[in-house]
Amino acid sequence: MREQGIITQEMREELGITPRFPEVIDSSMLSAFRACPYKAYLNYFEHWHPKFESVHLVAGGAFAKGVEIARKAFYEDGNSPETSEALGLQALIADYGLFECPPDSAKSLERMCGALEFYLCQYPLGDDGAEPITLPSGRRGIEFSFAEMLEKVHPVTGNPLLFSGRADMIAEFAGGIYNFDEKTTTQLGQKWGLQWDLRSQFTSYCWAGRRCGVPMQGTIIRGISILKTKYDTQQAITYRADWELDRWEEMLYLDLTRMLEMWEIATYNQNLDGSCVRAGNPWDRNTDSACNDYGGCQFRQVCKAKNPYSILQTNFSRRVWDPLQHREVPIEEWEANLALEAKEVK
Amino acid sequence: MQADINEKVQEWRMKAEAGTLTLPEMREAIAYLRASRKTATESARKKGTSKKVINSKQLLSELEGL
Repeated sequence: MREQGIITQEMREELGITPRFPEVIDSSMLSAFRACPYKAYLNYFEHWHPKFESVHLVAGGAFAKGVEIARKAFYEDGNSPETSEALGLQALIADYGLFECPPDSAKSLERMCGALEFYLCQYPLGDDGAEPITLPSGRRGIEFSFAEMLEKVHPVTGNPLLFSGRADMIAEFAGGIYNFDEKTTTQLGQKWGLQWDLRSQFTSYCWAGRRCGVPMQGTIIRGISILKTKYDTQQAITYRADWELDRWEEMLYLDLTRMLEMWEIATYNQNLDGSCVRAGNPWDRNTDSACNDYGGCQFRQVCKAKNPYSILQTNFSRRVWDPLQHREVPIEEWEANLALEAKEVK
Repeated sequence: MQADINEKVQEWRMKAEAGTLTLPEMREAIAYLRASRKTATESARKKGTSKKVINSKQLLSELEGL
């Protein structure tokens, strides 16, 4: 029996760690689980994240914020394009904050400011062919969040699991309704547009749209490449047929079944406040390409360590991503909130 | 010009942190970034068109000597 290189219950107890099965599933979690269930477990059940922020996440998040605010200022508040662009830039700068960009990265604050200006010049507000839809609530389809109830229940609380997501924009374009998604990158090229045709994230948006009564033809992805001396852009359209949405849903449930089975394998006690006691770590590892994709899995060193927690405690901190509130909270705050909710239920 | 932009962006960043970044400043910022980018694009285009003109007759005559 494996006794080294895995997380044991004794280790968890020593550190006071209680893994919890998530109440809300999103595309990132699904993607991590499909790539490597152990990664999904560390990220989303024990909530380990690298201590140091990734420039890609900071820069991409700031850019998205800038575009969101510019669109809302124009389409919802009726500001002029110039004022809306200015508000977007203000939001980008505030969101980027005091993050120090690594010297070898092109995604500095200066370059991201330039990227937003370039984007709004290439796709002018009110003049890029895309008009955000108006939702029944009166809001426009900008940063459209959804949370769909699933037919699987949480293994501890019994609440239906939720699948959530957030689309950058849902808009009418060329006679149809599309999800729009911005992707910042360092490289475009001939093959850039081909990677989206099976992307689960975009299928999930169309699936959610169908359930919400907003049927979408597909997704239009706007890539913006940010290099040290220039910018570039490319648009790609990827369609989704009904049978693809049905297949996506079927795969979702298969993966959830597997996730629940992995959770249950070593569970021998269940507490009603959501904690669980397990004897070992049955989570499979993918020791193949997922370890090296996208610059390398953040947990590679963890999988190489006899005692995983020695690496986790040095290089990672525990923070919980709340996909419904779209923000990250420290584990202590999140567990305190859970304890409060449990008290209120009693 | 890049040094100018860097300096301005650092100024905006500090003002954003202090909550004193104003809308008129950001309107100017967009205009400045746009003008700088267009100038940089134009300079790069001009550099590209001022390449040394190849004298094909001379090149061919060099081959004949082989």
